[in-house]
Amino acid sequence: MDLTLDGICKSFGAVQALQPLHLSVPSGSLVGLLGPSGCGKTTTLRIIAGFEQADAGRVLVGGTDMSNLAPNRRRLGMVFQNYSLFPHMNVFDNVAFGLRRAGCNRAEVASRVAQALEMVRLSGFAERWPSQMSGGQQQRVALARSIVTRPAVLLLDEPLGALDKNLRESMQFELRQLQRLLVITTVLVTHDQEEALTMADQVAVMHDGRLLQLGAPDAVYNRPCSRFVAEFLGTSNIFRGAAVSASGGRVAVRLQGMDAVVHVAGDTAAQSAVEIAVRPERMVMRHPGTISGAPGENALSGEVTGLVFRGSYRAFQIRIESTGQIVFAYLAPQAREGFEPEMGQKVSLSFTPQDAVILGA
Amino acid sequence: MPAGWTAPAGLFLLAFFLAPLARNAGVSIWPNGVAGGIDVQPYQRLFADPFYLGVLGQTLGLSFVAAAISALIGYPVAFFMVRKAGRFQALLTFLLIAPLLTSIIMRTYGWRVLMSRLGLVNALLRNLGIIDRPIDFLGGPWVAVAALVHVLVPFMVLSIAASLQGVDRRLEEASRLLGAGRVATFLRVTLPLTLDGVGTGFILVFMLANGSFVTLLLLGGGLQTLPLLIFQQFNTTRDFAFAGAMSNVLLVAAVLCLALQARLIRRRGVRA
Repeated sequence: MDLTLDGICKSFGAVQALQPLHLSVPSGSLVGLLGPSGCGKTTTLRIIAGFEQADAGRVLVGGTDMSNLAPNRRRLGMVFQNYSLFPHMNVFDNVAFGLRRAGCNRAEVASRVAQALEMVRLSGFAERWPSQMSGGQQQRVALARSIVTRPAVLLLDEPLGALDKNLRESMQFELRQLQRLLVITTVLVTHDQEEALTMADQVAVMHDGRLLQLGAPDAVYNRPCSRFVAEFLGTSNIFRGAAVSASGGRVAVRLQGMDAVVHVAGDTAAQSAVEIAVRPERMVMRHPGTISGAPGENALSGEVTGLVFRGSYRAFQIRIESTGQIVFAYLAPQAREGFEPEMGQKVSLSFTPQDAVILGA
Repeated sequence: MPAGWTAPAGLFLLAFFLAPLARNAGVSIWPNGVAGGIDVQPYQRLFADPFYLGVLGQTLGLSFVAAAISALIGYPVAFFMVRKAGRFQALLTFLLIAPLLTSIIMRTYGWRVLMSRLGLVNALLRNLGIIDRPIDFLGGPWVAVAALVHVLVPFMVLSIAASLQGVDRRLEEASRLLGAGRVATFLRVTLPLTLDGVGTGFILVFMLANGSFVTLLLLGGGLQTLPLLIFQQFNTTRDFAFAGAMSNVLLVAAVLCLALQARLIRRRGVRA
């Protein structure tokens, strides 16, 4: 069932935790609420769950207003960051809890619990106690417990936050597969941008109680609408300047130290102050002598002030000669084409008009 | 910490705690002196004579009732303190402990003054026209139970509060989302997770009530309990062996309670 947040907002005392938020999650899709702590994502989740009452606005599931329903009447499933398994019950009783509250008979409880445990690959663990299980296993029990009741909406609150990195990665795929298999409308809250990008159909970036940008992961990553989004999702090189002219999707931008051309999707008027963002992995690095100075080449010259090996790529830190700005470039081996600059070496950096984004104010 | 540091405390306990206990145990099994040989007759009398068995039963029964009432009264108080009181929690704790700071004699006499034939409660009931002749509250054990609960309920509240404090609220939220209402969540999640606190408090109150003397002496309404009997054996009958045997039985009961309590606490450590 689809979930709609219709202008919900919330203040705690003088602090506006959530500005009026409109968000709709299509049936069966997964929306990731992403943002730093204090951005309002957890408040949003707690309002959906019914643990907090919104000051205004409605929470609709399948078109029905849930705002005044108690949490136990909302037909939701939730996975908490610390798993929140009942420590005084074994795995079977934990998973059966929701079914028993719904009045299922013994046979149905037994078969559905077995089915849910099989789905999370924990068959044979029914008699274990939560304290005897690893974090990853507890996480899967929590997941089984939340889906066994076939909830209308599944809420995931930093579900993988307590797991170590390798396990987290494999669980991301596993969770996503299960969510697709069950076609269950899901809201994922996370501060981990990689988790949101990996798992979500739509990413909603939040900051200071406001929804800044909503879109598919690659769209949000590649076309961030604001400096905050550009910097929160991965690393971005930000250049300031003025848009001097715009025509046919090409904007000429006068930056400090260079004239650049940037592609835009729609129309942009000339503005006195703009910021453009370029991802470090979109930067091209060459010998300094190779700059032609043609329009649209978007070249800068600088000096390597730091380089780090990061496995699949090399991260360069470069100081731009004309402005002193520090810029990052991540270059995979094939992108370096045999060019391996060392510390202190002069290089030229460039980016294509398509790889730069003009950020909104 | 060097073992030597415990010497002063160790010596003190040896002289004023272990030695008297040992002497007491000795008196109870060698009633006629060591030369007279071991005689378990005092214990036989205590466990065979229906009167003494009855006293033992009354003692344990009274303590059980006091502990049960304390649990029923104490749980809501503890719940309020932990969940609702907020910044008034410290004040509440102080108010709770305040009765312990007054002398037991004062407190007990206070109850007598309130509940006697010409006391405040009877006068009030009479003036309101609810009764026409005073009720003999002090003729039965209930004022003693009330006085015991009055002074022992803080132990119950504090031990329940401690375990309630340790309950992760998200477990209750998880339960709510899984379809359990407030009552079901309390009964199936909160209460089971705090049963160790209830158990600890129960044992504490039970133990303290078992040994209470002044309260029963002044408010017991003729109810016989072991501490009263021990007092009689010393002062009236001067049967030190029998008094010693009874106090040893009381001691064993207390040790059993402590062992049970330790088990409860250990289990909590494993589960949490």
